[in-house]
Amino acid sequence: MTTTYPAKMLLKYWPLLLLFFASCAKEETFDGPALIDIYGDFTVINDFQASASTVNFAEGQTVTFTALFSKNVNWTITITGESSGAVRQISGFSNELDASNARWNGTTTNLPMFRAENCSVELTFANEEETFQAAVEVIAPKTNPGLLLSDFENGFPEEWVPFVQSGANMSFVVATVDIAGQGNSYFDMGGTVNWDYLIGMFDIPGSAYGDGTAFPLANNPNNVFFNCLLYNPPAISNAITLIQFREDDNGNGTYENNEDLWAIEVTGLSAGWHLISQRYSDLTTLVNGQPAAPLGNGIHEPNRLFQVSVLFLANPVTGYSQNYLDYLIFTENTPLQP
Amino acid sequence: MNISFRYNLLLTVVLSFLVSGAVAQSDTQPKKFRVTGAARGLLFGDDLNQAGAPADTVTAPKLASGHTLVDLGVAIRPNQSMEVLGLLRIRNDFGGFWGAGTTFDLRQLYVRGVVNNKVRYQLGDIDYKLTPYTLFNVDQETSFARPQAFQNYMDVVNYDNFYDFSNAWRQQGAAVDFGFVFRKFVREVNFNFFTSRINRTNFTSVSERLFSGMRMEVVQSDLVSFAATYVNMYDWMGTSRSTVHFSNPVVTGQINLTLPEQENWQFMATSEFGMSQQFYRGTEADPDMKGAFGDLKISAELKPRNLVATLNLHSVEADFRSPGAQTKRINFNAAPRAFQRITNEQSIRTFTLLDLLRETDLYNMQLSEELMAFDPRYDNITPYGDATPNRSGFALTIDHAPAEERYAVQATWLNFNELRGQGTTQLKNFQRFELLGNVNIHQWLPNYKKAIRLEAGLRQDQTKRDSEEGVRAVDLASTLVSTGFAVEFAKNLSFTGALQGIYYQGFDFLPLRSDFDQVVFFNEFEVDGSEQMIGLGLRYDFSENDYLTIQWNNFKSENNFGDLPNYEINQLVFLFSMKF
Repeated sequence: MTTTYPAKMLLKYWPLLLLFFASCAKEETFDGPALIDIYGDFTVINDFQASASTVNFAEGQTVTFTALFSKNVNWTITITGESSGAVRQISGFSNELDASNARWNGTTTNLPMFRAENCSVELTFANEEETFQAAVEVIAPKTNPGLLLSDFENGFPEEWVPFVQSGANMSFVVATVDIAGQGNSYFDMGGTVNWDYLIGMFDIPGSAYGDGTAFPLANNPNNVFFNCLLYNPPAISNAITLIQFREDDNGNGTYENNEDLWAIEVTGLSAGWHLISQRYSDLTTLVNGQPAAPLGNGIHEPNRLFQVSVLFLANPVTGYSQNYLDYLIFTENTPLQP
Repeated sequence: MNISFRYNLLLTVVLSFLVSGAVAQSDTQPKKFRVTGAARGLLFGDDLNQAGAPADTVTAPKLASGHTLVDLGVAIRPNQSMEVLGLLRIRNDFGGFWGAGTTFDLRQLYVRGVVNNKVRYQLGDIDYKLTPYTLFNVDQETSFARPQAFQNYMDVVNYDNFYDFSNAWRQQGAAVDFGFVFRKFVREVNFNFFTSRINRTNFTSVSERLFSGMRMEVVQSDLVSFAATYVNMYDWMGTSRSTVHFSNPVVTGQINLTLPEQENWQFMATSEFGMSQQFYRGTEADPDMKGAFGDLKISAELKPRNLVATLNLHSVEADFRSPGAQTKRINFNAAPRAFQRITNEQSIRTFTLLDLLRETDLYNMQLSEELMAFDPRYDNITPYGDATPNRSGFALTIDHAPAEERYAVQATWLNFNELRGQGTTQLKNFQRFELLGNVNIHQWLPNYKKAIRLEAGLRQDQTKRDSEEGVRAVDLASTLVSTGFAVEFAKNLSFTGALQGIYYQGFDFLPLRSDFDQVVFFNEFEVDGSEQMIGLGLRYDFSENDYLTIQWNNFKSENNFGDLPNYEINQLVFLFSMKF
């Protein structure tokens, strides 16, 4: 028997197959999480440190925390304001803390916002017992770009127009106690009105902030955000805060009933401070809390915003209600980063 | 009319019909129908003994179980080119009196035939296999060197799970085979097409899942052949409202070469190489997995010495996925039926060698799109057969089997490494040494006519990886020992004995995989123990396929880790098996 031509050809090309095996080389990557991170020994190679003991966030300074570990771990840095109680948490999974993953620019995770105060800093790990401490003094808290309507640090603005029902235990006043959402003061809205939903309200005219009658805001509603801090006391469950935005659609310097009226209604808050942020273009017209057809041209025009009104309401049969309000601000491009 | 009477009547009618039909056939014509099937009687008497204190006062230590069954199939041939087969299983578990425990199942139904004497087809239940990397039902872990006495039990399990068709998977679908014969250059070209249903749609979130394939084989001569195979497990888009669809195509090529026969030597080479891709359409959560493999076997036979040496070069990338080849027989997430909970705390007993020999329900019959769980004690090197992903290396096998069949031996040395690390860039090394042999003593005794057979096997597996920065080194060893004998002391009556044990010790990390087959964690796996089973019994062979055996078995499980105590189970087994 003789070898046929294809057989000879195959004999000739067998080395190609061997080349394939040679090409199946060791890979430099590996499957799954690193075993060292799960089962390796944990030691701190470089101690936990803050880059500065004092920081002035108002001047754009930041604090960077650094440390080096023997393996990747789930870590959490918790910064707590000693007078405000503000908390900032920074978490990550790595074997090193540096500017890329452990830099603090003065922002807050859990309201209230930080003040000028001493802060304690603690580093903890998900699966290790060790904890590490540091301290940072905030010389000046972070400032936020935008159109600040009021933070109540200088009392109730003169240009604002309040209306308060003559109910019982009415408290539409600026309060200055430690619990403030920002700074030292906030606006306390509370009382019992057993004949009407409205407990009290105030109007904020655009003329108080610009040359004309409108607020000095950008004309693109996608870039404008309304923000405020709202606090719900632990025992209160009936509070309704309605924030209205009246536009002067025809530019005649007044608001009329056939012009747009947008609104935000906030109910059912849990206890504590909350950040309320809403993109201007997402505002809707509300009638009795339900979305309704726009009253005016239906176009979101922040540059024609004529007046902001804050109404504090509660069902009259539910008795006393109370909320605190602080730090009303319009921001551009992003919601407020408290 | 009571149930038992009705069953008897049904059986009588069916048998009468079959017998009268068979008698009516002319001897010269193909029979219009034939009867096929099997029958079995199986009874276990178990006695559990647990070590340690306090004594288990909750678990009943003795257990009796078993069943009788008949698989009755009728193959009807309406014409010479078509056959319809229906096979009905009637089973009665012991303890189910007067028909209360009796079940009727349709075990097999198909239509097959030949169109124009050229195209062969089969519809319904089909047994299909292609290549070890595309569609192949890999033997279960404990099948290595199983002594004949225990193989009797395994045959029952394999038969019940349709594993007795030389590594074919039982599927529901259709297959078409045809070929062409040529006079020049190429001798023949054969084609195979098949499709089967893996999963049925629920019309909302689950699509119809199919497994389809095709193969073309070109036989140039006795010396050279080529083949190309394509298979794909995939969701049939539009059969549900789901927008996510699975697909896992695999394509391979084969080249087989036999060198012209020499006076003393014969050389052969076979190879298969290919690639796979596994992905989900309609979601970004799934990373596409692409993997390749290559397998080359070169064998040389020294004919005067009846010696064959085979070198296998083997490489399967970590992301190679082939559901038809990687699906496992054993479902390692299952629990045994006998003594499922033991100890006073009624802890679930993990299944063992003993349970794998006698419990059909521990096995899987459907192709799985994901890598199924495995137990490193039984096999940490090739848990998914040849297609086990992330293995590269060689295996050297030497066979020696004299023509007079006095004995046969086989030795294998396997050395594999991972291609991609698991949780580290360091790679595990796998070493396996196998020794397998049997001796037909009666062939050495010229005047002795009855059979005396000895058989033995040893497999030693070792997995190793060095320690690294506080992470434990991997060092897992398992040894499987097997031996058995059968002495025919009267005509067709043999005294049989067997021992099979697995001894394991060491440590490894087991990967935990996500729904998309990605490793998300590693669990520590540490073992130190053994499982050992011995058996003594009698076997009477009525014919080649019909036998009766009575065996006593002692099984011991010892573990130094885990919640379960050491225990032993003594069992007395009565097994009658026939096939017709």
